[in-house]
Amino acid sequence: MNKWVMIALSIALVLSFALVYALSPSDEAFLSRYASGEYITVAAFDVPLDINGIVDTVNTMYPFTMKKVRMDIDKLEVRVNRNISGNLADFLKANLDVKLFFVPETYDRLNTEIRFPRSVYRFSAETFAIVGWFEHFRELLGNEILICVPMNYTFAE
Amino acid sequence: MLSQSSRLRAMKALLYGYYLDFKSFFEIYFSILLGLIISKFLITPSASSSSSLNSALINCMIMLPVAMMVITSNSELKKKFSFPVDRDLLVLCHILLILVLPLVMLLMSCFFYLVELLLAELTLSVTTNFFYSLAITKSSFLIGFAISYMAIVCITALTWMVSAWFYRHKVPVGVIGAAFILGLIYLDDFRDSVFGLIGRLFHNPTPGLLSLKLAVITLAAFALGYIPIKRMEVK
Repeated sequence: MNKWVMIALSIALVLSFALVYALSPSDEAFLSRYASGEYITVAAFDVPLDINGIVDTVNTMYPFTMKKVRMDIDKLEVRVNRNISGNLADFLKANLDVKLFFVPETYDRLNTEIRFPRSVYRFSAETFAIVGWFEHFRELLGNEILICVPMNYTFAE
Repeated sequence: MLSQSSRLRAMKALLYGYYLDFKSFFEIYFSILLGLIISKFLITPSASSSSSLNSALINCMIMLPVAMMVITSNSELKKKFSFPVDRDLLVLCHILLILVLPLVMLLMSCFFYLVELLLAELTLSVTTNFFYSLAITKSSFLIGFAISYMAIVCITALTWMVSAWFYRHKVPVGVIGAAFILGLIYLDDFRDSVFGLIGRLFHNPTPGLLSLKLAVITLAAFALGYIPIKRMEVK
């Protein structure tokens, strides 16, 4: 191969590395994108608040990443991060199908069933998976969807 | 005794020879990454797909050990080992290859990562059910790149070392290797102790400590791989 072509290719590769670095956000900027204020509620359900409830199952939100959290709210909520490219919040508001199944009479245990009636595709422009070995970087993966329950509820799984 | 300049010339010629040999290797690697991107965005988009950085890591872990087995094979070694190339030069060139090839491959993955971002933006503008998110930060990219590089170099060096010993002592290395693999498959205690040892080695690491451990293993592999090539017999 021509020497100049080789030099041009080498420069292109080094520039690619520099560009990926330049386009990546800093740790602080990334974490601020996934702060609790950056999530929008796309579905909310009334649940009994005078019991110590247990959420038995929450089915997978594949292809999205999900985290289950307890917070100071009075409903069961499905929240989605507003910084996902492609306006995921509006899509889920229009297409998400969420059902709650309570154990009759006591209402202290419930199951959730979440489905996407339309096909959905997700691409995660993620860093090298090897950083998952380090605790600090595991926090920098972000969750696209939060399943939030009131503080008097716990997750069984 | 060869002079310093003729040794340098011999080394340059040897490296050029390897560069010509590895052109098709890089063409295969390029085609795999390109094929993955095409299938990811154009042919059959899966519900969820990971980035080129991860695909490249897996490809390197598979392709480079195979390449090391090839360059330490009988025919390849004999082909390169001709005057004025001596055993030391040959080992030095192999070590340079082990250090440079993963770097180039990982840099290529950065280029494909940018292509993916571009395609993701394009896909976003034409479909309503496609979404993408960035799961990368400056520090996670730099640390990921460095640790991936060290891990790939380490695995490649280990394969090179085993292949070099296999080249020199086929029967003993073959028997020990087969016994080791069979032990891993059939003996639970042996398997647990091997994985326990590996787990202890990499348990709760910090990036610096892990790099140090990988560097030590790599250097040991280089030293051990040098022995059989140094004793290589040439007809």
